Amino acid sequence: MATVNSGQSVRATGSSRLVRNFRNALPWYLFIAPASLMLLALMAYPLFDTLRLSLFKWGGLGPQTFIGMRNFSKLFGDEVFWRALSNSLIFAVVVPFVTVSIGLFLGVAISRRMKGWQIYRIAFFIPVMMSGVVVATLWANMFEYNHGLFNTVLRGIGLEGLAQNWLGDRNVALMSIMLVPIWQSVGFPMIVLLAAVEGIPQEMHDAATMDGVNEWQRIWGLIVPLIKPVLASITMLSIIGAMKVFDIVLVMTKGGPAFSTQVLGYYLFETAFRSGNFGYGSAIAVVMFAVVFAVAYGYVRGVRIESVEY
Amino acid sequence: MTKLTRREFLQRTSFVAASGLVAACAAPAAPTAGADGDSAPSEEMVELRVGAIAGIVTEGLQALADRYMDVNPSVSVTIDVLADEQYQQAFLLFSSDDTPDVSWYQCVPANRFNDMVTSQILVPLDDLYEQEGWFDAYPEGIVDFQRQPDGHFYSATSSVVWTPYTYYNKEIFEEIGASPPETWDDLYEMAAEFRAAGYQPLAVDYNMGIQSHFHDGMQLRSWSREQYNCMPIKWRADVPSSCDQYTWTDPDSIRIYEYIKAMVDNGVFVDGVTGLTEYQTGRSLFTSGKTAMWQTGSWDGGSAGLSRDVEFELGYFYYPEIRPERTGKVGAWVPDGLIVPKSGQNIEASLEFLAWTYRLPQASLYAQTAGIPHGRADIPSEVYSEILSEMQLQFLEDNIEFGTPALFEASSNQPYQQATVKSVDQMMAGGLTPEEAGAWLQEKTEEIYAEQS
Repeated sequence: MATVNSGQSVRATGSSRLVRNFRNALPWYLFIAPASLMLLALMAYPLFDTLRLSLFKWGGLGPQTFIGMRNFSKLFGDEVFWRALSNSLIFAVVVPFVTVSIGLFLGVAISRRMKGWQIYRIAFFIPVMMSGVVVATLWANMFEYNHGLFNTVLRGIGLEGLAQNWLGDRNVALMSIMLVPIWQSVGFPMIVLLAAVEGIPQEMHDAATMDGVNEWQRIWGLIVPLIKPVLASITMLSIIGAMKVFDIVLVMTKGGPAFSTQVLGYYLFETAFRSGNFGYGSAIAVVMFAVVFAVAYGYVRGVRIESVEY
Repeated sequence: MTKLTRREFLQRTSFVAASGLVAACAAPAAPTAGADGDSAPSEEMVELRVGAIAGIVTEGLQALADRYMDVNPSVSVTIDVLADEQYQQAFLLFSSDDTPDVSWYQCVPANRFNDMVTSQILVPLDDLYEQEGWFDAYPEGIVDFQRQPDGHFYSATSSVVWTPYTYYNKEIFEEIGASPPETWDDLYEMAAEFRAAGYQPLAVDYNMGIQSHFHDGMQLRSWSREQYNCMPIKWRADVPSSCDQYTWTDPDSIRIYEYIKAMVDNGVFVDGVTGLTEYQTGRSLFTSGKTAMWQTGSWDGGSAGLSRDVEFELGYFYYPEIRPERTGKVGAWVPDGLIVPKSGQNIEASLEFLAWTYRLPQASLYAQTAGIPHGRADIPSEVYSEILSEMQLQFLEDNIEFGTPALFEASSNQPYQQATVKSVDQMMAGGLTPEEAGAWLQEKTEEIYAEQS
């Protein structure tokens, strides 16, 4: 009897503590409630509805027909899908690698207060603030074969042989459009990494200087290990951004020529909103989500983002 | 300053938030008399929203709206310009509560018009066809085109354009002593002469210009009339069995790809054409005098077209024939017209506005403002001679003489249209042979047909 009473008492104490904790935290729950509701309505619901829709055949109007996994089985036999997936993965490797690498070197260079560093800091960040569509339109004009900037300059300096059909040659087009996000977004990792580099105590730099390191050794032996968590985070954000590429492809190549710049985001858009095949488009969206999630998860697990204490 | 307890703080903030929500959700106040104390008009104002795309369509509809408001002071007409991407998904917009009351639309399967009809989201215009005498005002072919499989009408043609036309710079032609080509070999030889003289031959945008319009032009020249009628509907579940004999792999279809390839091999298209995805970029190569020719549609021959942007004299020609029993020189695009979504707020007023815009004086005004012929066949030639350019008038005469079937893209659905376009892309940029491109498209056609069935 005493045991039972004791158990009830423990449960009662536990539940009253839970209620008390909840009441204490109530204001904070109320503060996050609007954002949580928005997330549920605008993210969670569409996500689950997309998952549901991927099992249906639906043209946007009229009834939805349940077809089970047929959209997915069709997807895995779809050569354009595989091409889009492969291009998205190339994007997700090349663009973050180059962007973050250049951003790191620029951040380190500016942190060393090279001459005119204030101007470089602003100049490299300006493209980040520009609209992706505007940037893509500008670059499409620069890539134009007959009077675009690149070919005009190449012809002007006698390197006509290097003039390319930048957006019209299937062997060159993907590389061409990858230059655009690299140019546009390099300022973002630069600013973030600059802040991280400047957070390294001066004594550590002094110690490294006394050890006689050169700049290269300073970067790889001191700076990179100390800013690793920031570097990992910015790389992951960059990978996710690159996997979702859409606007550049829409403006510059529309996935062509010959599917050479087709990416998952644009293929999803074409399938669902151009062709009106929302069920199949949802299946592409589900796979795209799974791929982005897997890449991000794999990266986080692989890199092991741990805090660094100075 | 009074210190608040957490409970008081929460009570007050909740009260403020709730008041804000109530205020935000309250119905907007009814319009009141003007600030100067004038009383509200006795007749209630009717507001109509008309959807359109930017450019000559908006210009034409705005002119009609202005005149309509002059003669109907109790109606306010606003033109809502739909962005390109918004227009692509307009079939969703028309079934929503936010739909325009009336909208300009390209009523073709590629824009899901057939699905809109099946889903019954549009107001039938059968009564207007009777009352307004449209059965007599329009050519029989256009009436047939507008009659949907359920036997009803949901739109009426407001403009007619044709494609492909090749415009040329007469100064460059005179410089090398060229004249419009009569055979394909003439065209290939001319291209070499233009290049030797430092000009690029033919500008054309890669997406619509080659993959769609040039492909259409070659279909007209390579297929028999019967095959031309069959091929655009090969995606449909109800395609007649007599069409089974025609495929994308038969010689008349492969020939289409062979002629496109010959244009590439003979250097007729501008260099880098596979990267020329922007229409305006291609056009600017011609208007700036870098190329001798520019291929597009009849709209660029109107008063709102090329003549506004070039300082040289313009000419035009049709591509040479491929076989004597050709189907046509150019194809007609007749699906553009106004529709009334059922979910609109003012259906009665919308139908009145729509009927008014199609009457003869307004049809002429639209044609004049947009610079393209109207679908009505009863607009007097003396009216056209006043409002259309000389070149447009010549197009009209030519088409009366040669006849113009509806374009392939007016009957194909979006996946089929896209597959056709990609087949050309696969050949021009992907390295497929004409036979492989035809086989690729045939395979896609069968897949699309299976989906529809």
